[in-house]
Amino acid sequence: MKELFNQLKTNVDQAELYHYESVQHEVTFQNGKLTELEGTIQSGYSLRIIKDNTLGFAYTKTLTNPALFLESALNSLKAGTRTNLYFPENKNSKKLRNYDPGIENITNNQVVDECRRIIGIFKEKLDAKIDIRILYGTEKIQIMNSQGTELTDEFSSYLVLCEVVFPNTAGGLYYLRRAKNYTPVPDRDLNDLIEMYKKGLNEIKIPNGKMKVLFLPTSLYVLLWRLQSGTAGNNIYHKKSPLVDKIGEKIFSEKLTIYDDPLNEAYPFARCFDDEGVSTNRLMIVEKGVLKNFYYDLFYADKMGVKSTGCGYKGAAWGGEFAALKPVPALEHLIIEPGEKSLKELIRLMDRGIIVAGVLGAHSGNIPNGDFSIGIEPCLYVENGEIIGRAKNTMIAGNIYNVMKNVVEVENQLHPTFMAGKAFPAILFDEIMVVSA
Amino acid sequence: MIEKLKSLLSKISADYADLRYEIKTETKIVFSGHEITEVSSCPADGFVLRVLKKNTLASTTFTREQDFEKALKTALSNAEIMAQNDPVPVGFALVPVIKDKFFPGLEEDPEKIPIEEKIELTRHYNEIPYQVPNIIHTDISYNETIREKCFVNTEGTEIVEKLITTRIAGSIISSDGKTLQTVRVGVGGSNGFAVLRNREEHFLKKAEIASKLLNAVPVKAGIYNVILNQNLAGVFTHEAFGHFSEADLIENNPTMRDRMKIGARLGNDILNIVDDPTIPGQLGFYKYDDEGVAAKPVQLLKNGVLVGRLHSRRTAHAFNEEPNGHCVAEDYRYAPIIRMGTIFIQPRDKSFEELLELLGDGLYLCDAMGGQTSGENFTFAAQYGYVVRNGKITDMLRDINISGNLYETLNNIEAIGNDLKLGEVGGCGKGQLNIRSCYGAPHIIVKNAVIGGV
Repeated sequence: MKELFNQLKTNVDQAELYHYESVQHEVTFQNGKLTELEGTIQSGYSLRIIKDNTLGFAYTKTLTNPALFLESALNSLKAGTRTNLYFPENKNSKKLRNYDPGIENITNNQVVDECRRIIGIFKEKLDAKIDIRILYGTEKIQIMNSQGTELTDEFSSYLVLCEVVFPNTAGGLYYLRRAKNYTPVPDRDLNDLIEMYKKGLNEIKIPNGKMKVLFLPTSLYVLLWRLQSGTAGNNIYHKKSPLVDKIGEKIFSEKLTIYDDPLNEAYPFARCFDDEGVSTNRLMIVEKGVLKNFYYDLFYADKMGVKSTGCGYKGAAWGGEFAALKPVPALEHLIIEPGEKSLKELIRLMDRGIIVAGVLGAHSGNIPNGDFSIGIEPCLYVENGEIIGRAKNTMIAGNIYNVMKNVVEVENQLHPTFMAGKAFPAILFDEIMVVSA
Repeated sequence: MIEKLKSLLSKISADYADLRYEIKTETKIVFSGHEITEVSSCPADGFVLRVLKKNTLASTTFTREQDFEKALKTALSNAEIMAQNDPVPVGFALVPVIKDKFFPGLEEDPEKIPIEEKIELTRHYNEIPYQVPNIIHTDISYNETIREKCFVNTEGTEIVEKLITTRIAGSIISSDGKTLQTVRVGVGGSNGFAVLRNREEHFLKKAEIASKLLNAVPVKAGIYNVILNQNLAGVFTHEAFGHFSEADLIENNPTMRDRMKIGARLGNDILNIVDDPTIPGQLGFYKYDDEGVAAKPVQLLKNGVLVGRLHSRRTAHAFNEEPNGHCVAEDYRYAPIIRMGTIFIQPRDKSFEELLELLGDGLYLCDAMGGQTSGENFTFAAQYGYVVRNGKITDMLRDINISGNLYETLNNIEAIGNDLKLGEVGGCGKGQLNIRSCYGAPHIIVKNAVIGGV
């Protein structure tokens, strides 16, 4: 790769080559039956070049034609994307514990057996449709730039996702576990879920109006998505955020502290450098309700005349070929600081309200303004501190800059979420408009 | 490439196997505000291998040709493991062997348009919204996706198909210092570059809506009778009903499967829904799907009764129904799954004015801003709307989301207009992205819709 890089960086002022390789396995059980075993072996290269303060970009899956690869990048200079950014010189050789070699020894047979065991635990206590997906594999990234930076990291990841589906619906309660190697799901982890499911079996009609709403960790991304939009360097630069002049102001309840923690090795995919080779650090976004920082990649940090916060990641809302993605400002390791009450205590605090166990339409509505308006599926209903059933056809709506001021309590425990690296507690809010048919 | 694929395929010992090699070339021109932030035009490629053995189906995707042996070993081993684990037995419905090369006709081949011209056109549309007061930002991009697919299977099918999708799309943001309002814009299609020309009015009109939304009233949550415009009714058709027509989404859900039996009455008898990927010129157009099956139009709902569903070869066999060529992958990174092509509510006889009169009091809701379905429940957002009083369109509304139950809503479709319109920029994210997912409808009246508001 180094030889190739030396070829590619000729005739330009700066260059950066990014390489990834990934091997993933996916085991899927639907309705208790093994339905799919899939494998993917993918790799690719991305090239960024800067010449006369103009940024060019290209990607390729294989290096069979390096000349074409460079030509594509040189061609893209014609567009005239202006920048004064400098690729970083990063000699930091720190290694995080991201890779567990045990991952190489996992077999699909072992994973299939684990799925069967998990289904057995559920089936002992429930007559329900159980869907399970286990995804595991390895990923390697390499970044090289013309400042002499050469960084590599290797990751292993093991994800268990179980869904216990309510009858006559496709929505259910989730159990999610992330690790860096195979670890059996402890039986006890499933007990609370089973108990909650049983209480939700009873279909009921619920009243409309403002009430308490408990977001489970796997649903909170709806609200955090809007906050990430509001604090992203690109949106601050373009002034498409309600938070442009609000650093230092209280925007949420003092019970909320939200930060990006890339060095946290508790979850897979911790990072000591971002996808642009910039060293990372914990970045406080909201501390006790007060807005502390926006987050930047190199491109928008340059535009704003500030330093990159080490938040440049190759990402896009809808995925896509990884090599084809350019770094953008992203909070990949977002954490909400836990509070003091257990989940059961949070439910007991609810005189009347709903539990958002799953959402529909998280991506819809006016995200830049912080608005959300989502269908709840499943929607559990609580009265006098007890779950008494499940409502169908229910929606909530609001704006995060109002709703997140009204926090009753935050759960005392972090849970992994659908997005690797992000972990949230459950949060109980008050005064959210609920409409149900 | 076909010969190379055949040679690789000949190394496989299985009941059936197919191999798809695909080059996807994406051209992107991205404007953020007045600045251009990206131009790229690069090919990327890869292979997708599927093996049917011992009544199980396993797939592996891989990037480099030299990884074929490894991919094959993984697929065969996975098939073996599945076979030992009491799987639902897999078979493939029979389809004709096809040998064809298909390159759809284009009105101006985008590949022949210089990148400079594409940049200028995108820049031109990107600047239009700024003529309107209170527009503070635009994110407009040109996206061209060319999929050159080579498909072979052990039955003898050999297909080369090239599909080109273009669009200029994005969002326009307005602000009055207190609130930000977003409106989506987009023009495009599957039949060449010409569809992108002379579209100034679209960008201007959307900018005016974004600006007017600043003074619109947030909708009050509640239950309303509504008219959905073509785009919104199309999203409803796609989200709420269409996904249920996809056999893979219901096959392992016994309760849903039971409700979606052919012959079941699901809607009002005025309701007819079809999915037809074979309409030339529409965004959803293709001739062959990604398992080498010729696409066919499928009548899904006829006079409110379920009469068809969308299939892959595997699900057609499992349901003992006809295969219809609806198994499509995003690109070389994925084995195909069941997708809609062009789904729409078939038009009836009512004009828009007649629908307004019929509605009397209610809401007129326009243009989708995302939607999702889960089982029989769905939700989608409208970009804007109006209060209708006594058949007249009055105050503008914003912050509108609609939620509902599929079966109740199908029965609540009370009237259907005569003004069918299909979308130019669709898209669906069912695990993989399908940028050619096309939907549409005429204006429709839905009774008792649940509207979320603040």
